[in-house]
Amino acid sequence: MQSKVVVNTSSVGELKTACDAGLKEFLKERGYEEMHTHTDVKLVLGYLGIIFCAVDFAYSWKYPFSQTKWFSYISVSVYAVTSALALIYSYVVQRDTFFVGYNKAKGHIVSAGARTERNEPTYRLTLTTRPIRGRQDPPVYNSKPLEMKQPFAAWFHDDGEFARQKFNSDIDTAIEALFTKKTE
Amino acid sequence: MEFLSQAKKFGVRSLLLQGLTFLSVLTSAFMIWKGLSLFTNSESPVVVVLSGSMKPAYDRGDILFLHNGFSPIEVGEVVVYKLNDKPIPIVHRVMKVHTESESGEQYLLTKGDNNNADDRGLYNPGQMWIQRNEIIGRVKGFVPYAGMGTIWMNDYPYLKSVLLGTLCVLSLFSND
Repeated sequence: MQSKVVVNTSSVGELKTACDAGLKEFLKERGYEEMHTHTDVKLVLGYLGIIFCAVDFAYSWKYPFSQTKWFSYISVSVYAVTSALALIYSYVVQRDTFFVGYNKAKGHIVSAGARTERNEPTYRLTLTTRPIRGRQDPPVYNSKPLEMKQPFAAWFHDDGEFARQKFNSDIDTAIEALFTKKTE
Repeated sequence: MEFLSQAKKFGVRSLLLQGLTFLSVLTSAFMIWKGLSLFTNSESPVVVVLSGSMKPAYDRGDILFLHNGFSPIEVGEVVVYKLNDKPIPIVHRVMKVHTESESGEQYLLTKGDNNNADDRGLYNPGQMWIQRNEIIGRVKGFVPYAGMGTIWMNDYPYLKSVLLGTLCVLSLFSND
């Protein structure tokens, strides 16, 4: 079904990436379709800036500086604004989130974000859920995010192979906790 | 063709994201240059000195930082100008300035410190003065000989290919 994943166990980055990918696959298998909103926002902002830059490059290549100055003012401003917005979006809105998925059948959205501390082999996962906007039936809705942390050693063999089943069952427990925890 | 296989495997988005990462390096460099250019009101805010006509102040290979702005040029300032037909920028000192009283239009005469004659021999045929709008900028700072690499690559074109080749080989040996 899925190929074996082997990582370098001394690289916290690789360990985190493997877990992120594992969580994505887990949720996708459980019927969560990925929502690409974060990626799309950054793509739109990025390419908007790039288009203005490309046009400005072509225009100022062909015509002298004094003639094309007015457009350069516009394109530099657009580029600065879109870059700033993309950066702000990344730091304020997206933060650690690497997967957002919606489950049509159950009527809710699950958002997963993960962090690691420097040189510490621990996976810090944050799961949040919110109802899909506009749904009639009251779906399971929990306003408090669920945080769980586990040392990577729990999910990787000595040789670096990813222990998918153990990972999946731990995540399963976490997801259930996310939906059964009552808001306080 | 590996685009298509990546597109099938990871989707168009991943391709677009990779493209974005690569292009933002190029575009941010260009935009920073443009921003500097607009700030200094100069079409080329950094130039390399190509001749020794301004010795001992500036020598061949020096990198000059220019700021043009909008204010009138004064006698004694070292300016960089380009004449319409020639692509090479000239770095010389302003010797005389005439200002038209009504329009404020300036007429300038320049001369290289290390030259015996003023620049009228360099100007376009029949041109006795250069004008404010032909000035690319005034020299505000410099780094001695930092531009020798550019000069060598223009004088010996094969060096460009050597540099490009070295960069390609190095990139092959980098991590991915």
